[in-house]
Amino acid sequence: MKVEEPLIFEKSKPGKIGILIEEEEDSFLQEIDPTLLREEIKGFPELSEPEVIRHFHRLARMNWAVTLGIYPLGSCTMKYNPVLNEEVAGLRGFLELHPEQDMEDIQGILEIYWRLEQLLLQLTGMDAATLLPAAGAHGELTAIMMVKKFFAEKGENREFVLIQDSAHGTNPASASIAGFKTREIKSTRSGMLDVAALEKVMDEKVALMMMTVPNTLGIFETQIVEIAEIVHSKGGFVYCDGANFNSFVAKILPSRMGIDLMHVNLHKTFSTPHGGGGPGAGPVLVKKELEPFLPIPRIVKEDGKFKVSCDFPLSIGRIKSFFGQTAVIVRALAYILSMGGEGLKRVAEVCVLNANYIRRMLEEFFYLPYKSDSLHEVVFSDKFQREKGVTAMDIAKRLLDYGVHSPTVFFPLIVKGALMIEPTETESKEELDRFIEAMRKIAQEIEENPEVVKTAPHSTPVKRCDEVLAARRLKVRWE
Amino acid sequence: MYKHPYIPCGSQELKELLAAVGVDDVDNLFKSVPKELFIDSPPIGKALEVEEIRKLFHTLASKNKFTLERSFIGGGIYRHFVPPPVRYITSLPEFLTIYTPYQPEISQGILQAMYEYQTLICQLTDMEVSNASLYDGATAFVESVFMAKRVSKKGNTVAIPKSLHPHYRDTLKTYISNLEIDIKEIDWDPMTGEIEIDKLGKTLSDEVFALAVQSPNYFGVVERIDAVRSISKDIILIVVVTEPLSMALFKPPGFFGADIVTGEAQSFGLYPSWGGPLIGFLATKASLIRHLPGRLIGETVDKDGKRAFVATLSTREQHIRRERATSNICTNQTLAALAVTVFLSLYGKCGLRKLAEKNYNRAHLLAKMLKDAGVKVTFEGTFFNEFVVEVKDIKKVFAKARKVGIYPGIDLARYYKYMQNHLLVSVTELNKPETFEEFVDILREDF
Repeated sequence: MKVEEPLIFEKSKPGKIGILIEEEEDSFLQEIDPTLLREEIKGFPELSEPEVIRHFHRLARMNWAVTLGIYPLGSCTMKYNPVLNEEVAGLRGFLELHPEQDMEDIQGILEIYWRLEQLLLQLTGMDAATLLPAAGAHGELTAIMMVKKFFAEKGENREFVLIQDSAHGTNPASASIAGFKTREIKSTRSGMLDVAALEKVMDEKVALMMMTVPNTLGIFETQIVEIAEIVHSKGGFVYCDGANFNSFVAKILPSRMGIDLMHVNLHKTFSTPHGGGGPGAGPVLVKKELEPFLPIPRIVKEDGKFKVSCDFPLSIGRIKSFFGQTAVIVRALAYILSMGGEGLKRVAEVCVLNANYIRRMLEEFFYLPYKSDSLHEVVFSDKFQREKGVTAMDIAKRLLDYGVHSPTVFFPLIVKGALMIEPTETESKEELDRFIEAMRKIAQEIEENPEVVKTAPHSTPVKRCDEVLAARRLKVRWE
Repeated sequence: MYKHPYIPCGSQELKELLAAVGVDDVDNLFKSVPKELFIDSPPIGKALEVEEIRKLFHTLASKNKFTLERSFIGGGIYRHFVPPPVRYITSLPEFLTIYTPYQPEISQGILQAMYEYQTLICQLTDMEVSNASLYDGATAFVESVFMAKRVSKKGNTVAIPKSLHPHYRDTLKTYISNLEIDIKEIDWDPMTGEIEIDKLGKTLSDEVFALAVQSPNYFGVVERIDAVRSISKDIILIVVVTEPLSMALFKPPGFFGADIVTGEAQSFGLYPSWGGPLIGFLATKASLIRHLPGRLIGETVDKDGKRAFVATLSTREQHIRRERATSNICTNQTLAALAVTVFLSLYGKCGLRKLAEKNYNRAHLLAKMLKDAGVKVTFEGTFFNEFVVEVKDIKKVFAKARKVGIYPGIDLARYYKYMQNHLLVSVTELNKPETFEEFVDILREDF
């Protein structure tokens, strides 16, 4: 069934309203200086409630969702979002709270923050936490600013942050906002950080080494402990981008790797829904030494009561208004409590097993640029298919015709034509097989009839979109 | 084997998968991890059953108190009615459980909704371009200062009034502490509560690359953006709006030639939710589009020439440009932007104006009742739905209000040490005039 839907503005007709709103008895409008008063908002829509509901329902039908099937975007951990968490996050006792309310009246929400902090500390082995960062990149930036302040307090001028060549783009972007210069360290042919190269560049000018563990190739950095020692020996810190925490949660403690700071993504490992690209949350966990630098406000427990405190003189300060992404934090706590320790350990095991199953089933058909063991995700490339003029993007588009979402393509950047596949633990074997079958058929199509792949998708609400035209024309609003 | 309802892999599937992969045990798949890193037993306790979770969260929710009609707290987060369709649409799994639209062909719904969001923000602010959301008003404000710095080649100083939201100023201070940007603070006129226009010219020296003004400002006073603009012609003018509903009644910053309009759109369909999720908006002129931070949705066509929507100008963003990106943002607040879109679609042209008028009228009714009762409203400047009053003993006011279950507002001494006994009062459509007498009594008795 084809779905088409005009823009809300095109559906609008004068004289309609989508909500009942009565006139006020007392009017003071005549007091407004006429030069300040606005006329009507030009172009603003006018629709009734059923039309609005139908409009957005029709739009919803054009989206692929986790509730519909596998969504194996590498690095994104698109797992099932438990409906129980939606239920508890929707309680009015959370939704209606104003952040300027008396602390006496918000003990429940403070307890939620406090409980989630405690659980994350237990799961990471770290010493102190902040739940304030609004997303993973925000968490990274928070952590880097803490490191900057740490060295500023010590009077040391360290100007560099080291970054893996396979790192997420947010790593270097965050480092530069925090006022650091970045140095990139190459990966070896096994897909791991080149430790010899690290030893060469690591000196007293380096503040921080940013590591993604396992890295974006899905490969565990087997020398992580040595890496941390090298960095520590020159007085630097090691940061863990916890985007891939799903692969070792409740099995391995990040603190044992020698990590000093890390962020975790509540919208990845801890199942909160991605919402089309947010809101997420990126709590930061640190070792004792860095605790004084955590952003304010912080939640503290005193005499059995919870309170908000800004009394931390070494803190980097505020990183956003008010508090964290509260509704996301409520969901993540419900998830962790629903899983328990055994359940979370099982999460890590099954997501790794599922990724390895996909690897095993597809390695004859697609080129595997790095042969080291995979954890929760596997990165193939389009090397074989490129000979037929087909790219990873074409494969991604063709997958849509088979009713599965595509993997992440063209990332990590160190793999030419990358296809980065992360199935998560919430896919059944049947669903994994559906994906595998689609990938194999596409490999076969590329041999026999590459055109059908190159011109894909064919059965989606719109066909392949012209992204070059979009950037050239730059029409970014309706008029 | 541990069974869990969120993990489909049962005992039979486990065997099949292990056999296919060619290992006996899942732990064989973790061989690349050094042994000493493993923990013997899970670091947290047993799982709770569904009913236990429900009970726990109901208990936690009941430890919180809230009131809709008897609260007068605003200050950057406003209590407004959230129409049921907003919650309903944002709970649809085809919006809730999707990711950033990297594959536009199966994400047209969210892409079109974000295109609509961008358009609505442009219409409301009277600007030409809007991004597809940032974390909140404070970080959007910081991003706008960074953007102004990229655009303007002159100076390292941004001028900011003290009447700009204290959290926003604090957040900016945190962000710029590592960069070569200085802040010059501007006072407000003690009579009107507006920015001190007379002294502004002198403040805006050669070093200043941008001026940021909030309107209505933290005290609720509507600024004279036309006058501000005429003094700040050669620099980037950022206007911050934390109560965007005001733009349905008052001329928007774009009308007066602002370069960047940014702030918080929580008023449009998001619960206060103890401060999150919020939603930062950022709109600008078409000529500055390449300096914009965050995701941007554009119109294009598909292979058959049919209209389609895609994320565009991604060469500005971190996943392409890395350390030279316009921002480090990746995950944003898309679902919150969807809530805003549904909210504004429902209220529409006529409803939003009526809602703004209702807010204005109720706030002015309460202000009038207070004045009639001899309570001093601090500033003479035009206000929208929030204003400052002076009391004799603010502690006593809070204690009295507490007894009758009223949240009287924000004690300004929390953010301005020299503003002792000043109360910031916010009135929205949720405040019923029937409770105003009671509110007046609390403040009157204080005198």
